[in-house]
Amino acid sequence: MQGDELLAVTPEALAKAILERRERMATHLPKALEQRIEENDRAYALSSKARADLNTLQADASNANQDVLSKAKATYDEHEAFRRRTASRLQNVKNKIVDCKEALAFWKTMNEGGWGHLLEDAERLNSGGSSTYAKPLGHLAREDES
Amino acid sequence: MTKRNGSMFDDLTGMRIDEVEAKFEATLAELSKAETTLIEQHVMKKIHSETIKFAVNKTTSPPLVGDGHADATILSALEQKSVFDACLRARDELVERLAVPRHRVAHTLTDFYHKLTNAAHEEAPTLAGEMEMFSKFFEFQSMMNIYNEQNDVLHNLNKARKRLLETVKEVNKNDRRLVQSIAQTRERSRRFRMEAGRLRAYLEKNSSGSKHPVPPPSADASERLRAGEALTMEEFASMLEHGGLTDVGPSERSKTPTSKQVKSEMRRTEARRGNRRVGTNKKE
Repeated sequence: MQGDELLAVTPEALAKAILERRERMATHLPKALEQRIEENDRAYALSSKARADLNTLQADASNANQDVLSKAKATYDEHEAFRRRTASRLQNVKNKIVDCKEALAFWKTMNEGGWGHLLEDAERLNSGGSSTYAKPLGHLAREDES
Repeated sequence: MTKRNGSMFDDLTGMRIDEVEAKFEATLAELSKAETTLIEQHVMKKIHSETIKFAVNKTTSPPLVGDGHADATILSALEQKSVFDACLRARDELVERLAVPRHRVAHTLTDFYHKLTNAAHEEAPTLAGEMEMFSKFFEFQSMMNIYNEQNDVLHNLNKARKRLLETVKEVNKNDRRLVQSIAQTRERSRRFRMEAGRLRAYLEKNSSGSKHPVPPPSADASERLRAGEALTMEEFASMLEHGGLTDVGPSERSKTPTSKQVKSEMRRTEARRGNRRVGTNKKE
């Protein structure tokens, strides 16, 4: 959407478009959550196994080859980093699900009527006031005067 | 010398003295007229310069144009400058009120709309971000509407600037014409002055000194000359005619230090060359 079309967009239409996008997201997120849980489980298993192997080698330190030990440590580090990444991604999806639920509730409420403070700046401009970007200059001027 | 005098007054030799006098008076009148024109032209030139400076904001005060010097182009330039200033104020008020340039508003409006409606869920904004963007989207929409409504502010400003520049060009052109005209008037005035001088010289030569006698210098003029004050041309002429310039005593002149004296004093401080001093050790 470009130019004049954007000037014709109403708050209701935009809130509706946001809701539609949020609903699309809501359908995708459970699938993404499943994928992330599975990925995280796999990463956890790999990391646990690598940790156990490393512990065994370290316990038997007298006979252990130094090369094998360092290789086991590198493998553990790699799997542990992967586990942390997957845990982060999983948490991210969980947060999005929560945020999506809140957003759906919020935009549904907004769309039913009353925009609260969301249209305050636009209304001020339409009634002949200054934009929010012009405000700091006014504050600076007042600070200078004081 | 005689030949040159004869050729100089050649055209006057056949004329009667009263005719030459009439011609002299007429020349003086023409000279006076030319001098008056010259003054008027200089006043007009000053007004032109001040108008151009005012139009291009080099001075803040407009020139004082009297009724006698009211030129249509000048008045038009002053009027257009006030229109231009009003347009500029309107533009500045608009810019101060919105603070974001039009192209930036258009770009951000498109960007926010895309982020709010089409973003993939990986890069989707949070609810707080959505609320902020929603609010800003409608603020930018209002800004864009204001820019569209006030489009004539910028259009008028550009139009006023163009018109003013055209008029300033016209004033400048007139000014250049005026400079040429001043040069011509000055040349005419110079010719009249020469002619008046020639006629006066002829009259002085041929009227046996009775018609235009140069009066003897007054005592007051001699006093003022001694005091070092300025003399008028008449007083100077009468002193040349009747004497008086040589009466100024040499003692008066010696009182005031001349540049030569100052120079000689300065020379005393110069190094003396050619008197090389021989050291005592060598002598011994």
